[in-house]
Amino acid sequence: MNKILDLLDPLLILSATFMGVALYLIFIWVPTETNQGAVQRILYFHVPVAWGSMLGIFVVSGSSFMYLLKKNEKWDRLAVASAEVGLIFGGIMLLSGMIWARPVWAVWWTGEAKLTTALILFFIYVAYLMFRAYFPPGAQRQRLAAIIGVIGAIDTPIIYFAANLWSQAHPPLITGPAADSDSALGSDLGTVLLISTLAFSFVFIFMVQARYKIRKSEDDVVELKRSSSASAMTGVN
Amino acid sequence: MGSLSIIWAIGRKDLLLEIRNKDVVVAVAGFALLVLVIFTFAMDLNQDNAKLVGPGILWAGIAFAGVTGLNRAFALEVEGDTLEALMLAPISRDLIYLGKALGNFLFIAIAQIIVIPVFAVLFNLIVFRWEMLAIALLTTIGFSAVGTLFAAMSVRVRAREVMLPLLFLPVVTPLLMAAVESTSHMVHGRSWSEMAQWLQLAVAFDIAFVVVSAFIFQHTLED
Amino acid sequence: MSNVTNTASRSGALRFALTMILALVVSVSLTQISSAAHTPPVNGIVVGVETDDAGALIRFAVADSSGTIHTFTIFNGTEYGLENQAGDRWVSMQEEDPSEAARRLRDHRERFAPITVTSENGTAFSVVEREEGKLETNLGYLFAVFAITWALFFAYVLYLGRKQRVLQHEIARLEGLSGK
Repeated sequence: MNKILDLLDPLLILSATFMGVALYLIFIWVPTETNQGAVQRILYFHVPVAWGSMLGIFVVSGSSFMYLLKKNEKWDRLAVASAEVGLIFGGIMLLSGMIWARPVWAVWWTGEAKLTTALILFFIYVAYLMFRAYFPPGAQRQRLAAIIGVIGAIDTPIIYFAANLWSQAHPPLITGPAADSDSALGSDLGTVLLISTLAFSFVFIFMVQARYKIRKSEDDVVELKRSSSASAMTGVN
Repeated sequence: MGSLSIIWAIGRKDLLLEIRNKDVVVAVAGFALLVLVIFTFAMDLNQDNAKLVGPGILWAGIAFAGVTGLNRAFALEVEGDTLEALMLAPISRDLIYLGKALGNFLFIAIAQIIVIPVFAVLFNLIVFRWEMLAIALLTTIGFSAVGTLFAAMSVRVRAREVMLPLLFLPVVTPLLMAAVESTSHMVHGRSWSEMAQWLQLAVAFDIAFVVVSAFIFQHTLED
Repeated sequence: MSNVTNTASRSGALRFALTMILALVVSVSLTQISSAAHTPPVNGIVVGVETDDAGALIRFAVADSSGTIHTFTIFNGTEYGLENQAGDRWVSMQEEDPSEAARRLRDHRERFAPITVTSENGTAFSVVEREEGKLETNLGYLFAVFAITWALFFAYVLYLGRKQRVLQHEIARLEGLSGK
């Protein structure tokens, strides 16, 4: 059986390298932003993590769709792996966003369209994983979970549109330093964001593939149990 | 037998059953009424804030009550093993889905006929307008489209009573927003044009989920 | 065989955790606020403000904590983030309101309010309020995000590692069973 968390795993080395460079850029290289001060550095975590959770949604819905089409186990494994990792990224995205908003917008949370959308999608992720946890294992669970994945994907643009309309009717409560002026972000921003996004993407891929492999060995265990009990039966006969 | 008559036959079967034992409608209407009444105690209502909070309370109540009703409707099917019997019938699965969704639509609609007048009385709001009919119809279509699919999926889950709301409520959030916002426009006496965008959103939601759910329903039951 | 992979995967998870902790410690200990890559920023109080006839800011001088006086010229893109006594923050660029910049700096000189200037070759790029207290509370937010991010990542990787160990145990047991 393959090792799953191997320290010479090229993906792990790649993510650690990029993460090191990104951390250097975020904390040392990039100058402090004039308007928001130190908290602005949260952006370099928040945006890549948000990207990761978006990637998660794409992979979950894409592979759910493929599972319904092909009924191949590997799509289901990919869906569950990226749903779990996407949930972690989504949670970090929500928390880091709130922690950033507190000093900058003077509120923890506000009814802004992207925030509302992100929160609802987070709950759909949670529902997806809870459904998998509660349902008896088997092909039916995988089919039903895939249905939730597809429904979530269809719902996403509708949620965003609704949240957008809603926030127009209820202007977001934003009063902090960055309330009315666009903050003056330097040209270094793009570089740091790019490297940081790459780093978090590698972490995302690393975690998804690790979870995928574990999922696979879980299936192997079920298979082994079945075959060993079958051979025990034939032994009796 | 045409498609429409099959759908109607399944829907009518559920309705007749419901008229006999009144399980689902009583559950939905009772639950929603209790939510309304509790909120009138929980908040200090007057003419101004009733307009502000009333629509939200109404639709939140109907959404939660709808979940209870959907749970009940499918629990009945499981108790009687009637879903399996229905699956054996030589009918295409999307028609079964549409029939079941029609049944659930009728239950929630009947419950609303009881709940909305009580809402009007408790909150002192004028709701007997064509706008309200349109909003209620669109919202109920969406609720029953999504709810029927998820209720059928949750039938075999260990904690069905918990699972259905967890699945159902996040997905219908945009529809709920549309219902609350357009109802709020209506109680403020504004015209159709101001709620047009919300009603369009509700129509888009309904079309998307009726079509997709009917198409995807076959995957929930096949073995 | 499974024992070997067991320890390998465990040390893999551990190594991942250690690498990331190391990165965390290094980056936190090296964190210096206002650390532009080029010339180190100057913190100090305004000691001189020079304007042209129209009242537009041309040059200003800052004395740092060691008493050294730094003179800065400005250009159209110089950014300001300065507060008045009431705490209202004024965020602008030189070209937008050059005389307001001069007024703000004079106000700072009178109040002995410290500022931070980032510059290159004597030209100021940004002139901002030095808010030690506020920056520290700001840093708390930044640290919270950092800590939460890594705590969740570690927790997940450790969870995966544990799951993996249990599975390998199970597989070894089953293989042993079927071997007999």
